[in-house]
Formats: sequence, C-alpha cells, structure tokens
Amino acid sequence: MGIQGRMSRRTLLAGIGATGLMAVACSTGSQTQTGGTSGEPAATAAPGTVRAPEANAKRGGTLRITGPGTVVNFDIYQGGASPVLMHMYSTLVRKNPTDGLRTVIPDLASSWEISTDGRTYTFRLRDNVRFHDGTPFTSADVVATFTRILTPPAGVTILQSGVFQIVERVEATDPRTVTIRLKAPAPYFLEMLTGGTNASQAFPIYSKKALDENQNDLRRVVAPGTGAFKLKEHRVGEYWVFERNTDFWDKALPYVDAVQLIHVATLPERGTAVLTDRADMTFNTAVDVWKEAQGRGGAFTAVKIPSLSAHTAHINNERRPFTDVRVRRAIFLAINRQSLVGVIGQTENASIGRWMPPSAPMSTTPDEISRLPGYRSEKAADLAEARRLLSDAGFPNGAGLQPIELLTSAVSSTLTAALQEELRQALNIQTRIRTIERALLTPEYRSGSFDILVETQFQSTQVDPTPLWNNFLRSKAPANWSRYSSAEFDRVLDQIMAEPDEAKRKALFAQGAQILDRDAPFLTLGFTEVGTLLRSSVKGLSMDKRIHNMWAPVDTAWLDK
Amino acid sequence: MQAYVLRRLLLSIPTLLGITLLIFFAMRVIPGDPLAMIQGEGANQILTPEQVEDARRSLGLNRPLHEQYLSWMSDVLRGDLGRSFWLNEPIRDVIVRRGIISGQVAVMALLLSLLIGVPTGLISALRRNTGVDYMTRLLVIFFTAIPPFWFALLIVLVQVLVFSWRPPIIVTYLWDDPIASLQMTAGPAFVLGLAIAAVTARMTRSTTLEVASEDYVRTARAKGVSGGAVVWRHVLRNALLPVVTFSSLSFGALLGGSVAVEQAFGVPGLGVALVFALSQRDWMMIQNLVLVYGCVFVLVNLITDLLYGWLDPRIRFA
Repeated sequence: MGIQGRMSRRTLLAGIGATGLMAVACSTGSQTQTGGTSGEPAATAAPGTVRAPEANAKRGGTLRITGPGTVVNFDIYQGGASPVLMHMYSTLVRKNPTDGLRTVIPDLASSWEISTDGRTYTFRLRDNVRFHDGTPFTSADVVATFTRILTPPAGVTILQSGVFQIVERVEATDPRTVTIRLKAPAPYFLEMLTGGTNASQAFPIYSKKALDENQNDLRRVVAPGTGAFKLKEHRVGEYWVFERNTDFWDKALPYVDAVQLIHVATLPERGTAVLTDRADMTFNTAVDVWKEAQGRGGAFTAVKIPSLSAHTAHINNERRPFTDVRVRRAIFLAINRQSLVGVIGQTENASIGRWMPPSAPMSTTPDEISRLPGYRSEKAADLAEARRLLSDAGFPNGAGLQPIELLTSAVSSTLTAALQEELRQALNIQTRIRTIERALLTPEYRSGSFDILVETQFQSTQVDPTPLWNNFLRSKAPANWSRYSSAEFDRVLDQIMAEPDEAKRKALFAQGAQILDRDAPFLTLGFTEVGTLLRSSVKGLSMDKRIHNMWAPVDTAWLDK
Repeated sequence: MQAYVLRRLLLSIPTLLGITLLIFFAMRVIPGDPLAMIQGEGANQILTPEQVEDARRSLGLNRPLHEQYLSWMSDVLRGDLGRSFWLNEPIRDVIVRRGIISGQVAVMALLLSLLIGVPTGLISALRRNTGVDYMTRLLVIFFTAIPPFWFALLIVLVQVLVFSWRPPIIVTYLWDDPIASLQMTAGPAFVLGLAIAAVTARMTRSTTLEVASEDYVRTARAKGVSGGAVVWRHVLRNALLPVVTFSSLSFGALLGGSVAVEQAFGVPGLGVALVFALSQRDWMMIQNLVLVYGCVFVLVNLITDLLYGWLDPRIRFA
C-alpha cells in the first residue's frame, strides 16, 4: 500500500532525475485526511500520506525501543542525537517506511517541483500543520531553519553546513511555498533533505519562533517539533517517552500511543532486552544475540539492514611507497576480502562492497562484484598480478620495503591483525600495528601522519553515493583521508553531479568505480549491516525491505498485541 | 573524639587537593579532548579548524591551565560540578542518580559478603581440618579465583537463554518499587558479594585461628567461660579488626570499581559512567567523579578508624 498519489509529468520526470534510481512518490493534489472514527486505521492511504502496509493495523500501546538515548545537546544541527530527537520532528520530505526506504515521499512539503536546470526546488507546504506548542507552521520556519545552516550566527556550530554548501539561497515565495536555489545541480538533494539514515545528519524543521526566542541556539531547549510524537518525559541517560501528537496533521498517525526509547549503551544488552520482553525492538544489537533471536523462529523478526558504512584501510597516497599506484593496486588485488569480512562478521554483520554501499541502486551487483579482480574469492590470478606489480615497483617479494605501520583503534584491532597477516602471507609485506584510542584517530587523519589507517571511516547518510564520493574521494575533499588525487576521477564526479538522467548516472558511477579499482586509493574491507531485532508483535515498519538503517520516525509502527 | 574527627577531616583537605591537581593535569597531559570525539564520530561531523576553535572557546578549553583549574575549584566550592559534555546533564545529578544505584549494589554486596564470609570463616576455623573446613576452603578458593565479570556474564546468559528473563532495564529506586529495584541490583550485588565474601571468609578463618591461640582465650576457657561466649566475646571481636579494614576498603572500591560487573548486568552505576567519560574525554565528568571517589575513600577511612575504636577500646583517638 504505502504512498499513493497523483504526479504531474514534469514533477515525475524531475523527481526521477533528482533522486537517482529511487522512485519519487509525491502528490500534487490536495491532502485528504484518512483514518476512521471507529478507532481502526484506514486500509488505504490518501495522496501524500503513508500508512502501515498491513490492512489490520491496530491502535494503542507503547512501543519500547532500546538503543542509544544520550544526547550531547538538544539541537540536532549542533550535534544533538538525531536518532533520538527525530521522533518528534518532521522534514520537508521523508523516506517511505513501507517500501524499505526506497522512495522519497512528502512530509511537511505536500509536493515539489524541480526546475529543468536542476537547480531550483519549489516546495508547496502543507496546510493545517502546527508545532507542538500550537504555533502554526509556515514557510518562514523553513527559511529560518535553513538560513541558520547557511549563515550560522556567532557561537553556533552547524554540523550540516558542509553538505549544505551546495545551496545558494532559500526563499519564501508565500506562506505556503519555499524555493531553494542550488549553486549547481545536485541530484541527491531531495534524498539529503530526508536526512537519510538520520544517524548523524538530519534536516528537521524548527520553528522560527523557537529559534528567535533562543537566539538561534537550541542546545539547551527541546524546541517544539511538528512530528507525530511529542516529548512527554525524559529522564537523562535513561529513557525518553514520546507520546502521540493529537494535533498531528495526519489524524491517522501514529498508531501507537507512545514510544519509549530506553537508553541501553551496550549492543548485547539492547537485544537481550527484546529477547526477554523488556523491549519490543532494537535497531542494532550484537551478532550473537541477533543469531539467538533468529534461531528462536517466529517469536522474533531478525533482519540485517545496511548501515551505509564500511570498514576501511586508508592508504596514505602521499607517503612512500604508496605514492606508486602499483604498490596500492598490488595490495588491493592481494587481500582476501572474503576472509576479512569473516573477521568482521565475528562482531557485526558485513558484506563485500565495491566503492559504495551494496544497497545503493547504482552499486555493482554482488554477483558482478564476486567476479571482479581484487574482490573475487579465487585469488591465484590476482596474487600473480599483485606480485608482478610489486616487483615492477621495485619491491620483488616485498624486498626493500620498510616496515609499514598499520594505525588503528581497539575497535578495529582484530581486523587490523587479520590485514597484517594477509599482507605478510600474500606479498611478504612486513607491518607493525600501532593501536591508539579512537578519539585520537581524527588528528592522525588530518595530519596524514600514517601509512595505513584501519577504521570505519567511509560512511554515508544516504544511499546515493554522490556525497560519499565528494567527501572521501574528490581531490582535497574534507574527508579525503587517503589524499587521493585524480583529475580523471574528479571529472567523472563532476559529470555525476550534473547528470539528471538515471541510466547515464549509473554508467558514470560504474566508470568512477573502475577508476578507483585501478588507482586503489584505499581499501574497502566490508560494508556493515546492523542487526535489527523486533518482537513479532511489532508491525508496520517493513524492516525486512529496508535498504538502509533509519532510527526515526516510527510513526507507521503498530503493535499486534 | 570530636577533636580527632575534626583533625582527620582537616588532614583530608590536602589529600583531596592533591587528587584534584593530579586528575586535572593528568587529563590535560593525555592527548585528546571532548572535541576529538565529536570529530571522530564520523565523516559527516567533521568540523573545520575554525569550528573546532569556536567550540573549544565556548567550553573554556582555550584558557590557561591555572585559570581552568581555579575556575573548576571555585565551582566545586560553590557546589556546582558543571555539566557532562556528552550526557548534557548536570554532573551533580548524574552522581546522585547513579550513585544511588552503585551505593545500593555496594551495600547489598557488602552485607552479603559479611553474612556469608564471617560465619563461613568462623566455622571453617572452629572445625579446622575437618570435612567442613576442606569444603569451605575449596569454595573460598573457587570464588576468589573466579573473575566476577565472567561469573556475571554466566548468570546473565542463564537468565536469557534458559529463563528468558532479565530484570527491569529502566532504573527503579527502592522507594519507587522495592521489588523491581532489588531485581535490578541483586545480580551485581550477588556476584560482587560472593567475591568479597570469599576473601572475608579466608581472612576471618586465619585471624580466628590466630586469636584462638592467644593466652587470653586460653585463660577464658580455663576460667570456665562457655565455648560460645569465648568465641563471641573474645575471639570474634578481635579477629574482626582486619576484616573491618578489608570490608571498608572494599566498600569504597565497590562504589567505583565494579565497572565490569555493572556492565555485564547492564546496571547504570557510577563505574560505567566513569569509564564512558574516560573513553569520551568528558573532562568535567572525570574530574568530578574522581573527586567524589576521593571524598568517599577519605570518609570510609575515617569511619573505619572509628569502628576500630569501638571494636578495640585499647585504641585511643587522642
């Protein structure tokens, strides 16, 4: 069921171009409220609305979720934990929870249009939306929220400023219309506004009133949202209770009366709480607990959801011997990714990916990847080629190479040890491991004072990999920790940014991946998947379909109790 | 007596000052600060150097060290322990909230250790070289050797895999719901209590054997005092002196040192808070928690000395 709506041809074409392979379901018609007065949810959704996929969805109950529940502050744009706080806020557009987060659907914007040059987005805002304090929602709130990102006031540090640099200006055409003008086309912009995984980068709409009253700094106040839930109770470091927003614009949502988010710091404990009925679900538990639940059959739903993050070995391209592409390529070919994914699998679910999350629609398929040099399990030809390259670079059988340092933190120490053994066995490359605290890795990344750095620094908040590549692989990009520089790759990336046609974009991504395979700027060792666990009574979230992790909202969830 | 207590309290001031200086400068010497963790969280939260400098300024981390230290001391004297950077909560509230849980676990564990350890040690000593003694010593060695965190994990596994049961995961205080609160703290208290009880039993046995061979005990027996009275009045009271010292110090350690067991049972106590703060470089939290631990140990030591005087009147406070 999910979203149903009418689309103008122009919107449809622009939308498809705007979100890559993701289908865009947006409504240009007026919103029709659904939901019966009998207390049972409607089985069909009106245009621009979303419903639980099950026809027999019930109302009531409290959904208990275990997970991280601490926040540095309450301002999502200044580091406030969005997986917690996004239960009470809305965005202009959102991911469809019923189709596995594959499509972008309306949220506070009931419809949108994209100009033919791909630079102007015009959002039509919903009527009758109020913040939790009763203040009516208007375009001024959107402008105030986004203007603060573009020009943060003194003392306000907006973490989203970097990715929002693609925006030239934000204007309110009238109280119900907002226009966002980009500096250049960015086909991933709509998906970006959804907040993607909501793990670290969400774009909630705050009220102008709250921003004005607090001098644009919401770190110390829980600003009212417009979401399906509003904050009822918060015991610091223990739990949050979000209760149904009875004034929510969509009267059919949410199904449950409240969401209780219980702070449980450790992954195993999050899952055991579900196993023992202390909680209804957790988004991320330990592998062992997840497997235990899976073995118990029908009482639980245990699914693996891509986290859009990878374990990586960042190779310093500016340090000898890695200035020579042949050395990097040799390592790229020689390592056994199947073996390394197995090591990662001891603590978390993982799979082999190329240069983007495997769940990205433009990703190379697992079948294709399994036949590619460097990725395939049959290593004989790859090893021969790797040894030849190393020899050509002046290091036959690893001779003449100074010991290479593998820098890591305790989190990745086992994987690093495995990589060390791979390099020794495959290419006779001698390495030494230096383990430091994870908090101290960032200065090392920044200063480039490492040979190879093993960590999890290749993560995206959305399935479209354009921002990921821009951030980690473009020459001189802020997170280009490997100091990779390729004019050829940058040109492909420029074309990806400007190309609205889906098929052409996919071809360009394939071209980019080929360049990266050839240049081997660093190593992707395994893309992780979170072990999500639900009691079978939790419905409405279509977790088994999800192509990426997303912690909030859960407004379509219902309890079959 | 009052003068002694006052003198001891005054003497604790330089001790506590020393602790504050040590922890303050130790945190500044160790590389990394709270902002390092923000940047380490992920590529999408990478701050520019200007943003880092702004944030550092807003936290007061750019001020000279002596100014930072004096500012902290001034706040502490006013009763303001500041806010946790990562929990976004006044540290005083964290200490009160979590300290109650840790305190409850510590008290329960200590009571359990005394209830089990002292009688066991006593019986073992009085039944020396009998089957009871051998069995008791075997159990004592077993529970001394077994790592508490491993034992804790074992209990949790049995709870989950066999009984599909876990205590409440939301912190519940005794005055809110005594049963739920006891369910939550019983696990860690049991594991920690057994570990301390084993040492207590061993100590009680050896000191009892030592005291039982003293002249005054033989004299008491020769005078015709009953066996029970000899043990109760003359042996046990004197044998307990080192046990009191051990139990008192254990109590202090239990408040902050039972991290692994707290973690295994998922009990949000002070120990877990300190480890989290250390890993996240939450300086203010670390400084103030260490200061609190220092105060607790000073207080526990004082109470131990006073208990000595009660148990052994020969000890004078003057």
